[in-house]
Amino acid sequence: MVASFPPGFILIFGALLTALTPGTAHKAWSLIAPLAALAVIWMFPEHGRIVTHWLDYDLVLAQFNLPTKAFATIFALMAFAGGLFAYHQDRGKPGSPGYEDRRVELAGAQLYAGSAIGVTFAGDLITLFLFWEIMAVGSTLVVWAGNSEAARKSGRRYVNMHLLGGAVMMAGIALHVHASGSILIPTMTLGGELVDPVRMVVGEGQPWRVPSLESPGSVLMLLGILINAGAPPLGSWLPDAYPEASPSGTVFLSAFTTKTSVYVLLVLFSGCNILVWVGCLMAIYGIVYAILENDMRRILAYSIINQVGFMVCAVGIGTGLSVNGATAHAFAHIIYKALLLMSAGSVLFMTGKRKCTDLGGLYKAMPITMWCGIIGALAISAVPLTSGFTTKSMITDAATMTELWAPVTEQGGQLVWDSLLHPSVAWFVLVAASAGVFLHAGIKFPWFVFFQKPAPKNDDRKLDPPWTMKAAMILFAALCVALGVYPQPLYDILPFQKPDGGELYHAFTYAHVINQLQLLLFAGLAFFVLLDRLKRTLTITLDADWVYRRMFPGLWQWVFRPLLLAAEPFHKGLIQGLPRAAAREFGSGPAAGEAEGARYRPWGVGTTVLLLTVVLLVFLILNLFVD
Amino acid sequence: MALDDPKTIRKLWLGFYAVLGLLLLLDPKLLELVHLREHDPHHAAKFIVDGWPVFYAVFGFATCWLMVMVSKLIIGKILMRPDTYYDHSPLDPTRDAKGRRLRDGR
Repeated sequence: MVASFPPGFILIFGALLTALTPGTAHKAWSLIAPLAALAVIWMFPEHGRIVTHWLDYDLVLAQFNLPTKAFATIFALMAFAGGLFAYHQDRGKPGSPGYEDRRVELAGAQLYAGSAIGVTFAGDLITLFLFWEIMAVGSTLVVWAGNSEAARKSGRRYVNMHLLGGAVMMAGIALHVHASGSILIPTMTLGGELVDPVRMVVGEGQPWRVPSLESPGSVLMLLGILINAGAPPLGSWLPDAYPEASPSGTVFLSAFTTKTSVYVLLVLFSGCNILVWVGCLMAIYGIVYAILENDMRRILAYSIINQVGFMVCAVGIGTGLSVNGATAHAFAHIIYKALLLMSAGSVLFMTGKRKCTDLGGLYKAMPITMWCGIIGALAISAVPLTSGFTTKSMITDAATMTELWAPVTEQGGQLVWDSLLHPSVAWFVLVAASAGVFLHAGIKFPWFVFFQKPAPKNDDRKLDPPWTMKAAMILFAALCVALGVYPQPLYDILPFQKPDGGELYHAFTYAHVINQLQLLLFAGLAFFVLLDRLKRTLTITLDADWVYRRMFPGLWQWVFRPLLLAAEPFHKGLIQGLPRAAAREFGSGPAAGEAEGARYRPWGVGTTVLLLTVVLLVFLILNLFVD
Repeated sequence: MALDDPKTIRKLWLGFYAVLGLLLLLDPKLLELVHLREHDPHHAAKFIVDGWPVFYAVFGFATCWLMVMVSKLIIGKILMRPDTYYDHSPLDPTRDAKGRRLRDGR
């Protein structure tokens, strides 16, 4: 019975209930629905499949793909913790004037989380795409719930970018389905060792050709997914929109869109080598912008791009170890990034300040927020005994095995690397990026927000947030440490297990621990040595969103509009002067123009559109009955 | 022991340097070199330089220094703007190109 219910729909129902329940009771659904969804995810039978017939297709609404369990579990957990964090963020007292609850945000967030879970359970491309688009709707609601002019504007840019990405992806899917005749998602298999490349087959053992990017359909799909993953230059919507949401809204936003893209890349594009370089670019780009930014949530938004870069790189590597690594890293990343943004959100919620230049000296006033933020910062930097260390290391380890993933060609009887850059560059970039994470998120975030300047003398401000927010932070901080000390429960739900049931991955070797500490602490030394250069300034750094925020309006203002205005006389002559002259020369004389008004009454656009709509509707209805 | 006391800060720095020094001494490749540790085949050098002693410390410091310098001195110089940059639209008829409100009161 349970198998007949797709887990994603539970949270979508939760969203409806949240929207419809009167009073303050609606908030309860944001805690109950995620837990119910989590239970259904775990009770979903291993080989269960929910198929429904729609148009000419058999849609697989729910099934377990290999990475599904890990992704769906963390999405449900995240929805719960986010709901807990958002629980007490209404403004004002219920019933009083100016009261403003977070109903829209909570409903939007559940719609968003539910459709993200729906994507991970989708067994075919059409179902995947439908949930993908619902995600765009839910997340846009969350951005708009930020309830400021800036949130409204950036939400509009956000939704346009996602609709564009969705259209590109749909075009890719349509081309692919037309060419291959199948809408199914491939099955991943692994032969022999855990470190071997992943093989993907679809249907009756047909090899899955999409990652080789030979068809235009696969290229379009990849572009559509990369827009959602935040890959530069297509990903500037992310640091544009996320920091404008409410304190709790940003926490929800950080988790789903980019990680769902990682999931989709995993199941469709594992082993697509170009992604290694896209991932490396993302990792470095995120660091450079995070170093330059001043708004604490913009810093963390750029560090999402940096972290997703690691995962995208792992997808490109496409070996069993790297696929496991990408999944585990996504799981751990959602927890510590949400924790960091909860910490930042608490600071914003309690002090109303968001710029590093205004913050600092809060270590006495917000001890719990500070400690949770520091634990998140240590985890994102992959310090030993935190979740980053036990997960991200898999990706860097997989990158060292170039002979297993890097493409080779034969040239004059010798095998040579078939890529522009030597494959070892990927590993060096990933290690440099790991050091850079410590620089921009690991130290910079806690330093500029909580320390930086001395606390006021006899600081007895009590600025730690309400208990639900603290509880959400403490829950995720505990998970960061728990997964760092004992990662086995996470390893158990990763896509590939050892054939002999042995230990999946062992992070704690002497050399690995010492090397990681050296890398991070010397990066920390660089931070303090360069502290003067890192002083925050009241600036933002232009990103690719400049193109549609400034360049396009500027082009209209300074180029196209003047051109149109200049062309106006010619246009006028063409549509008015010329016919009049013709009428004078050849036709009915000057009376023709004057009589016009009497014979024709203008209809107006509205009536015309209405008539057209009615005609189209009639055609549509006739079409249903006439075969 | 207040965090903002210069004495405490000095002690923290000394502690930090001590940890850094200790980490350099505990470097696995260095210990292999002086035969205090067996060679570990799982951590054999893959790309030559990662087998050098204290490679990770040097690499971590150097790349961070480089990343800060490149972002601040090159990318920051080109792309940094005041954070009010986007606060007006070039299509806004009530403001001029630099975002100042026009005087005619529209």
